[in-house]
Amino acid sequence: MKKYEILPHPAELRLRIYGKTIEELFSSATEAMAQILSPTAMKSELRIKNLELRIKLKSIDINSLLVDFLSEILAKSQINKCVYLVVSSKYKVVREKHEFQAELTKYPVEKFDEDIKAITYEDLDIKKIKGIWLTNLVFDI
Amino acid sequence: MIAKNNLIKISDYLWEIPKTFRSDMRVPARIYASEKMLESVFKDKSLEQLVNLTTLPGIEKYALVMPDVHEGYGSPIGGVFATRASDPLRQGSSEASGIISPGAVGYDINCGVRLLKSDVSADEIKNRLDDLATEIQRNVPSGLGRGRKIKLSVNELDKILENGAQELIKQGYGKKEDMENCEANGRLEWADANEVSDTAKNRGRDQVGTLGSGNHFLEIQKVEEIFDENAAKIFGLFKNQAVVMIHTGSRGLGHQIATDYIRLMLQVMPKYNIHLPDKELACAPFNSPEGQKFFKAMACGANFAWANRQMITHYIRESWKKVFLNENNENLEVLYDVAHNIAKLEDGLLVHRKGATRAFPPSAGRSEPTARQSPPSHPEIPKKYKEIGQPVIIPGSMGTASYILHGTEKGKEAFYSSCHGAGRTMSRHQALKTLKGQEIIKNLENKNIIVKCYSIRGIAEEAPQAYKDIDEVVEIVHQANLSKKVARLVPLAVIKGE
Repeated sequence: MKKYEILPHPAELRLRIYGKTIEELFSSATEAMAQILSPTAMKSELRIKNLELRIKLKSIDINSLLVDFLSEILAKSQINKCVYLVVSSKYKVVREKHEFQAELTKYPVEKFDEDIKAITYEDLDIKKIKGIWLTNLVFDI
Repeated sequence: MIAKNNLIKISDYLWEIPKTFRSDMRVPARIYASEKMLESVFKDKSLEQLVNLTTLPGIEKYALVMPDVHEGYGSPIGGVFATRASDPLRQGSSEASGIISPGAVGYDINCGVRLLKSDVSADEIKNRLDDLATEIQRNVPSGLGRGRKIKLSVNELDKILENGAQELIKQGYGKKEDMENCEANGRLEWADANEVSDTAKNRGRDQVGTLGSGNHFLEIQKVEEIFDENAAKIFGLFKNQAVVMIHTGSRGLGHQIATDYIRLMLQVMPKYNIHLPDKELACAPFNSPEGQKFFKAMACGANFAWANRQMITHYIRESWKKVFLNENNENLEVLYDVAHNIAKLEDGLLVHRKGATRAFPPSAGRSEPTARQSPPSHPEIPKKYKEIGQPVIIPGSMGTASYILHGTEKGKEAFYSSCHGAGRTMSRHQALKTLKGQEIIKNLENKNIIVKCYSIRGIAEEAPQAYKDIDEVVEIVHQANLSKKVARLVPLAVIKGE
């Protein structure tokens, strides 16, 4: 199953993201962002195994959770000059709050191919169709 | 879907979607476009996004879009509206207070344009043009790689956030006149660095003086045509003059401020009984604690962007000086520097512009003059431009013309706003699929335009074919009298980030 595909948008970058589970959907979105920021970084042998990132987030709904999660990774990518991939993750709903925790591994980047400004809510609607979780996702570039 | 039969024609260049079109509209929506250009507006979600703007609490008169409109997220690019800034905070009331919306400013806070004027003609520099473009490309980092020139401490960054370009002038990266010719003198005084997150600050610490990517660029241009001799004289422009245009914004720092505050606004909207058709327009009453916090943080982002363009000005001056050593033509003066993504208080209203340029005439932003008084000029208009109004800088797409206009009193009907560029018609993805970077470079070189860009992909994405015709866009704001043409500039050399 493909993890993501690029769809048309007049000015920004619109993607469709897929996953068999919510966790996989979030992981696919993270990978899509990493590929766009630097398609060559993950081919590097320089993965920093001992400097993995742990993220734990709560948001008001699942769509906001995805935006918040990717926004945090994007900021860390720019600050630390690297891209991240999800190694393990867990999604749950606790007292109406949507929670996501993940462990990520990072790959250093010499030069970003694309400058993603932000993760937007445009077109974002996570849903399950025929057993597959999917959503559109628009990056401001 | 919105179709032409939903529109009322007000004039040859102005159309209206009435308030009755959708039940949640608080005011009508207006479109500045020619009949021909209107066709392209129906092709994407621009008008749906425009109608969404009209649902914002406290909106005055109408929401409108400029002729370079295209689909964005939340607000369409080219969107302008104003909310009542004086509304008292009414929590839990069904009567809405005027709001402030980070998404309606855009993630690139104070994305804007600055024009530098030289004393020399394009002919005088043509033999060294390639050297100059190479030197500028070498000197101005894109900011997408490692090894930037400056990494500021948080304390140094805070000073820039609160003092803007003025802080860099103080440190020797420019001259006092640079600020006199800059919107708000390069500093919004209500900025408060305490309202900017550490994450945003860390994203921005090594990005002062960086160009970024996408549609951001530097161009060496020449004044090809003068439309208004008097205005051109006041602006210090002459035919065939060599000028340099800078188009960039607040980089990662501004992007993170917007991200942080959209998140905050979404959390507090229920408290203020705000319900919107699009989350990307998340907002809070202007006079709420959250609204005020964003206003102060946004001012920091705007100040950072002016500082960014100031530092790039410094690098360009260094480059110019190096290439033209001992040739006594190193003078590069700022014509003006203007934001096109910002929210500002103007005449009691909070005007949001996302992809639209402020266009003050001499008398704008103040109460109506009486018959006995001459119109008072807005305090933000430099003294030397009082007679004609604010220079309006409109960058074209890569390899096409750019324009200088001046504001008019008629612009009041558009909250003193004008277009901000050509406006995309083709997605970047589609451009990459259908256009070849090398071919575009060849076409530009055939027109004697030098291109300096590390990324062939970036060239294809920003090809002129992916944009509307800038001449048509500018003609509409000129004919609609929102601003009037002063000069047309054409590129000699284009310098892009990645």
